[in-house]
Amino acid sequence: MRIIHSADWQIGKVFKQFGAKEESLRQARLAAVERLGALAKSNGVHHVLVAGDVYDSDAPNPLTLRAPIERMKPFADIHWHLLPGNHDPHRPEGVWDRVAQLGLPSNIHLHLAPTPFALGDDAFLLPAPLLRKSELDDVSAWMDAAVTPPGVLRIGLAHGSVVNFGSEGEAINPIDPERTAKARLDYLALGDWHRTLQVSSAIWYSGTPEPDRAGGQEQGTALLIEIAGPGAAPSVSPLATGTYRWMTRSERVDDEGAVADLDQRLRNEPDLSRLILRLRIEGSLPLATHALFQQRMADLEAAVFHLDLDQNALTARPTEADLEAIDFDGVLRRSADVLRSVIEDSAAAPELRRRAEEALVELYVRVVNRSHEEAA
Amino acid sequence: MLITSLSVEGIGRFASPAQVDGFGVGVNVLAAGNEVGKSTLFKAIRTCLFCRHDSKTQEIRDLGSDESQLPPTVGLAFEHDGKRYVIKKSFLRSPSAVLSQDGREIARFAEADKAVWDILGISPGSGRSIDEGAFGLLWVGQGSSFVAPVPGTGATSLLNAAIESEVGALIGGERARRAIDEINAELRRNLTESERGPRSDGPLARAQKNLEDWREAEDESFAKLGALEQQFAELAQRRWRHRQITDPASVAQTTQELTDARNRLREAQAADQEIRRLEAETVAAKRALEGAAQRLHQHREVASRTDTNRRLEADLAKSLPEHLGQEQEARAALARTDEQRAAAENEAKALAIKEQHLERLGGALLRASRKTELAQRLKSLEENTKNLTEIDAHLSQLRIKPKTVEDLDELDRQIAALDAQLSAAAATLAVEVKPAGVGQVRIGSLRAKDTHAAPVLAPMKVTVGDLAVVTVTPAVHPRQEKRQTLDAERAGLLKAAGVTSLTEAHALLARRRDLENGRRAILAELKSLKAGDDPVAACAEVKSALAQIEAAIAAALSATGRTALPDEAAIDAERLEHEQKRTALDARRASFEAARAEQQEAVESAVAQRTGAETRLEMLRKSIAEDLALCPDSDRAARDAALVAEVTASEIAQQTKAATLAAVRSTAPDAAEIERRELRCQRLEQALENHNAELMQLERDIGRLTGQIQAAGGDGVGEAHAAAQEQRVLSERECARIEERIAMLRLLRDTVGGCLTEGRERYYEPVRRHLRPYLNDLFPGAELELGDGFTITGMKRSRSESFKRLSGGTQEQIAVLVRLAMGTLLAERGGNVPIILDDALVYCDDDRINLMFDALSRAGKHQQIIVLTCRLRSFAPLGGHTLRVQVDGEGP
Repeated sequence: MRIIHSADWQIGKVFKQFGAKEESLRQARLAAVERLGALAKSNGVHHVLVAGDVYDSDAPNPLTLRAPIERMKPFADIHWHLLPGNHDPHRPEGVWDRVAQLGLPSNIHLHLAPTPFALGDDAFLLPAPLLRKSELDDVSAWMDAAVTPPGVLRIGLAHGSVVNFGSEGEAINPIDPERTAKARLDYLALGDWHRTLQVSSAIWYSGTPEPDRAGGQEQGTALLIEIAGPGAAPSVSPLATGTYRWMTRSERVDDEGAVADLDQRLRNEPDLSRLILRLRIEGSLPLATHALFQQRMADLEAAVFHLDLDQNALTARPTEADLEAIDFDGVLRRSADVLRSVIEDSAAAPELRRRAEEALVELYVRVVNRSHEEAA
Repeated sequence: MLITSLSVEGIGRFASPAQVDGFGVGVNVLAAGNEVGKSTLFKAIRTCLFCRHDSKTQEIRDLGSDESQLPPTVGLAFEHDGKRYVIKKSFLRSPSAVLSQDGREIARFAEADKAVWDILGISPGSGRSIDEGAFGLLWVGQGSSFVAPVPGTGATSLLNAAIESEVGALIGGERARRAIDEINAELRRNLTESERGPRSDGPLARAQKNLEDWREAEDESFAKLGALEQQFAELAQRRWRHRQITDPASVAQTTQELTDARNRLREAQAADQEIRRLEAETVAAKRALEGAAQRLHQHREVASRTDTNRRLEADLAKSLPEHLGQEQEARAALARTDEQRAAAENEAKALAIKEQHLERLGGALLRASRKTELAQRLKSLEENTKNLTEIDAHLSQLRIKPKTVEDLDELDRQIAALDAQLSAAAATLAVEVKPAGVGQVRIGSLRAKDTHAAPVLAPMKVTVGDLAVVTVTPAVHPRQEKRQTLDAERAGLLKAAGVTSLTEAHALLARRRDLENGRRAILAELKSLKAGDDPVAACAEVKSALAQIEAAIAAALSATGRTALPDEAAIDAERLEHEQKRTALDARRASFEAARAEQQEAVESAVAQRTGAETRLEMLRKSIAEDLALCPDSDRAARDAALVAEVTASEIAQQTKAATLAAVRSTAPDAAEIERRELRCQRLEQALENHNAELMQLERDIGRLTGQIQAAGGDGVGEAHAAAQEQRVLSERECARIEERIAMLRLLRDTVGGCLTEGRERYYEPVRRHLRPYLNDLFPGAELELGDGFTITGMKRSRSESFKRLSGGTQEQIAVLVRLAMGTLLAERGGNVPIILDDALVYCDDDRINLMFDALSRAGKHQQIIVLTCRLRSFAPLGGHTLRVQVDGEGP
């Protein structure tokens, strides 16, 4: 028995911080659905299990509602099993009733009630749909008493947080990690955790097929599950499904060499145009290097899909040469000295020191730029 | 530099050669009235030093004199660096320039121009920049002293050089100013001029507006999302309730309970109806018994009444003749009284006729008394009417009018005036008759004696005996024609008025006025006689009244059958007699009326008694007949027996019905039980109705909520909210970013600005130090605030004041003091340039001008001060050297 385990598509998620690039990211989530279909086809898989959060919202607009359905339709040989999650719980007249009213093809199955569902002759799917955003009880508990014919695989499908597993899950919705044993499950496909994660040999979070946030999974992933028969340990293989890579880095730069090295390393990353980079910089730089660093970051921003640069921990460290570049003497030099004294005044408010630092960098850049203009 | 003398020719009002003498070290004053040429001299000095000799600028052309054909020529002697120089330039025609040093010519023409500039240390002039260097700063032309000094490029260089030699240069000032300008430009894009708020069309305002919009959008979408959640919750609750109340077992149980309750209620209601029927039959039996008893009672009452009426009929028939007799007796007495009453009435009528006659005679007597008065009035009216008619006839013959007389008087006045004028203009004929000529000389028809003098207005003959006839004919005067016109006009007026002279006209007018006065008196008399507008009609009216009186008297006499009117006493006696008779007659008539009323009452009483007896008898007989018709004497016994039997049968039937009713009542449900069963039915029906109503309401609610949820889902509320939330966060970040940048730019600008101010303060300190003593002379403790380029921005006394807000006089005083200070500063650094003030300190009060003189004297210690003024008296206390203008050919 071969299945593909996916979850957390979150179709319709908005990415306003990306401005005009938002639509590319929204489309990438739909492209991941097509990629899942293609992977299923190429791996001889007939069932794709989606463990909740197909939609980002339980009130998506009509276009968002239809879009994933239309992406699944072309794969007529593949059965898509969709489960309501905490983002799109099933409520009367809610998102799933709207989906059902669209007139679904027979290969798209909505599991809106805890009822066993036959996956061909060899396996039964035990879905645990969420009927509200947050459930205090374990909605997979019903699987313990679920009756299935003897000799068939029992595959659980649920969305929630494994009890005591951590706090990264988005809702309470507890799932007992002993569920596989209690319900005699051969595999429990979980959603809600956006990174691929193995909880036990038969319990996995597939992760999202297209990442949607920094700090999570870099590359979109689904899981190819292969189970030889009832009681056999499942074989789990990750499948790459994402378009964009969400990378998060924390770096320290204190001199020009470090700046150049960082720039070089980042530029060596593959497929920069599809890289969404969150870069946190710490350290302190002379004004000249600071200006150089800003220039390199501006260049890098143009090279990657998106650069989220956090340089709150990067300070300007004016050197004597920097100050002399502003002037050897006179009003501007005196101004730079005043600003430097504020920056170095540990008794001053951090906000003021930070602002003085920015002002000094600004002064430096203005003076240097003007010098360059005049020289030109 | 020290100017020692000045000579001009062909300049302004100095067409002839003129010389200014008396220059010396320190303060020099040229005090002269307006239009003496002070400003011209000032211009001449500037032109001589700064203009090329061959320049032909308009300014030089303007300097030339209109009264001189000679070229404008200026010669200026001055000392500089221990040498004595004389520069002499001629302009326009025959231009020339000669410079001599210590009496020796050292340059000519263009070289002389240039040599002067080199000596004075000013940059090579173009011939146009005459306000070069310190001269531009310290030589203050007429009207320029009010303006704060703004040193030109050369002067600024000199000042900077002087300052920098002391405190060093202000490095980076220009770059700092440029940086500040750039930062301000960026701030201006975001903030208002006052920087108190965001500029409406700037990035910050746009970001804030975006943030506000997205906050609103987020709130709106959040509210919609909340509403959607609420609708989901409500829908779930409604559906749960719907399932609960549509449970078939529960519905069947309620329906069965209602059916049972209705059956039991129907049974109870049937038993109750049976009781009601039996009760009705029992009541009917009772009523039948009461009817039989009633009929027996009535039968016995009729029999008894018939017997009683028969006895009463007999008694009445016996009393009827007695009532008839009493009635006839009362009627006879009444007839007698009526006869007596009629006689008294006739007597009263006769007395009334007599009283009427007497009243008529009294009226006629009263009218007769007015006859005399009316006759007298008629006489007066007739006389006045006659007089009025006569006056009107006279007046109609008088055509003269006051206006005509006034016009004639006016014409006479004009003629007299003309005559006087003609007389005055005419030749006078003077004749002196000597004794021998007495009687021999005639002037016209007049025999002259002694002397005669008269104007000759018309040809006049002077006859001297037989010796001669002299005719004097006056010349034709233009007024004669006017005189003739007036004469013709006068004659026309006299003719129109029907008179021959003005005197006659006056007499006629006096006569007319007399007649008019008389007429007014008659009209007043007629008014007192109430004649109205028509006296003739008034006469006719009075005559008519008299005739009516006569007719009334005649009618009264005829009616009363008398030949003459009695007097008033006779009438009063007769009237008294009639009154006495009337009193007696009234008393008699009253007694008859009383007796008649009493007798009438007796008649009516007798008639009533008689008719009452007859009526009662008739009614008794009718009642007896009716009772006998109901119960003839022959049937009385048989009927009584039948009615007794009927009463007995009814009693038995009523008792049977009552027994049956009691038996049924003992087994049927009582009223309380029926009511309980009814209430149970109602309760169950109400419950079923409520159930159905709730079901309908639930279905409506479910439909409504379904529609709302579907609509919200269709709108993509969740997605819209997520988008709005992210947009709001982005907008907040953008606002914070801009605000942080603004704060940073402000810090940078303020820091650079502070450093610039600090540097400028240090830089300007020499100027301030030199200024302080001068300023202290006038404004003790004050400090001037200097801006870029040595501009005066304000003055700090107890508080900082903008220079532009100071009074005009104070501004001028400060401007002059600053020039003095700058002059001192330059003089100390070797730039000794005279200070020239042309017509300055115009608005100084007495105190201030003395203080300004002190300041000028202080400045005079360092350099030459030349003051040109038209205020001779005011500037006398300034002291110093007095300059004099000597013009050739004129005294000093």
